[in-house]
Amino acid sequence: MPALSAVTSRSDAFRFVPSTVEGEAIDASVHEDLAGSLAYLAEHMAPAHPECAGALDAVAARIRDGQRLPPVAFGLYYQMGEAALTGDLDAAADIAQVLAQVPAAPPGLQVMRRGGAEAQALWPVLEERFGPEEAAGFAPVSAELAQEFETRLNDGLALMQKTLPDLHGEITAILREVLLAQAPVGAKMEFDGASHYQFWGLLLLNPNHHKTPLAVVEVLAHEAAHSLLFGLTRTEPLVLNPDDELFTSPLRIDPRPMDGIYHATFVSARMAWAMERMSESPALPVELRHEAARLAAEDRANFAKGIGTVDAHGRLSTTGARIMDQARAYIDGQ
Amino acid sequence: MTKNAPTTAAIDPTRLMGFRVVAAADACEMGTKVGSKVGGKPVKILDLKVGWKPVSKPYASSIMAAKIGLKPD
Repeated sequence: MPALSAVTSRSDAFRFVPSTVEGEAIDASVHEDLAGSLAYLAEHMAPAHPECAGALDAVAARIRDGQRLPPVAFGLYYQMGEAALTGDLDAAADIAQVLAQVPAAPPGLQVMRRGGAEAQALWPVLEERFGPEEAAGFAPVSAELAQEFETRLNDGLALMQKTLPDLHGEITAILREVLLAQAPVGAKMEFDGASHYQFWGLLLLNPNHHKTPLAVVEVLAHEAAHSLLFGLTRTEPLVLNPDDELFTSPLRIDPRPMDGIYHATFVSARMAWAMERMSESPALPVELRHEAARLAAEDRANFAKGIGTVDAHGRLSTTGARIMDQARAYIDGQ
Repeated sequence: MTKNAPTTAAIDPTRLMGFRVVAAADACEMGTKVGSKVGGKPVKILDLKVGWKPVSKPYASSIMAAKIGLKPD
């Protein structure tokens, strides 16, 4: 079993520009971290629940043999870890048995819809992890709406592969599932995209948004940048500010903790990178390039707002400072 | 499965992915707590990152009669 010193976040090797190789390395590193954590929990559960310990060791062995797990397995791990840390090993053992039954992630990006049979295993775990208030913002979508969006998503991915192959490679290395959902009836606010630390490899997208392939590229660059930060945040927080300190966000209307401001700022830089590369691509029609340039200018403005708050109030960890320095260097043209 | 059997020593959160980060935040007195949820939600550092927008007009007008609201996080 790896000791803590063996766990690295890969943030020391991080480079701002997207990379297929780095995406694959971060994905492998996250899975190795999961395997080590499962083996450690197995050791603790063995005296009271030997059969569960064996099941967890088997999952860890599958991972170390190169198997990749779908997002629901990570959600179940956090459920189990939380139960174990609060002393409820019986509940942890029950969750371990469910986790042990999760099959390997199939190759490629799986698209599923809230309300569809394919999301039946994932949704209850997401709902439990989100909490009832947050989960209520993610309502089912029809099969027709999902099918229409999946076509747009594939068009967007094809556009990205053609114009931004490194970003496409990085995103497809770390993403396994897209869950489509929408606002519930009567909502005044709706999500357009979301990702969650505890569900590695998952994006949630609202098919009522992202109407063009360019918009799909932009939202994928946005959400995958959150995922990338999650993958790099495994040894220490990005920022050391208290959760109850709130600041104006460049991307949201409500005040956010510094961790949220940090994420929004980094994500804006990644979006600017993606849109600027697209605006320079000779393979694209001139109208699309102009639209990409307009979006890039917005992303740069959002970065400027966010970095001002980070610089004024952020207490960055070593990891957080290292990653943000890279984003700043790109924006500053270094 | 053996239920309610005696347990071994306390689990070290620094050996667990994700919880290790929260433990580091605890050490910095960021107001988080390993293994805890606040108001039914995970601590912020392991939380959802979501982009909220006002509901687009055609959708909003078709459901104007509904009274259910969603607070933006």
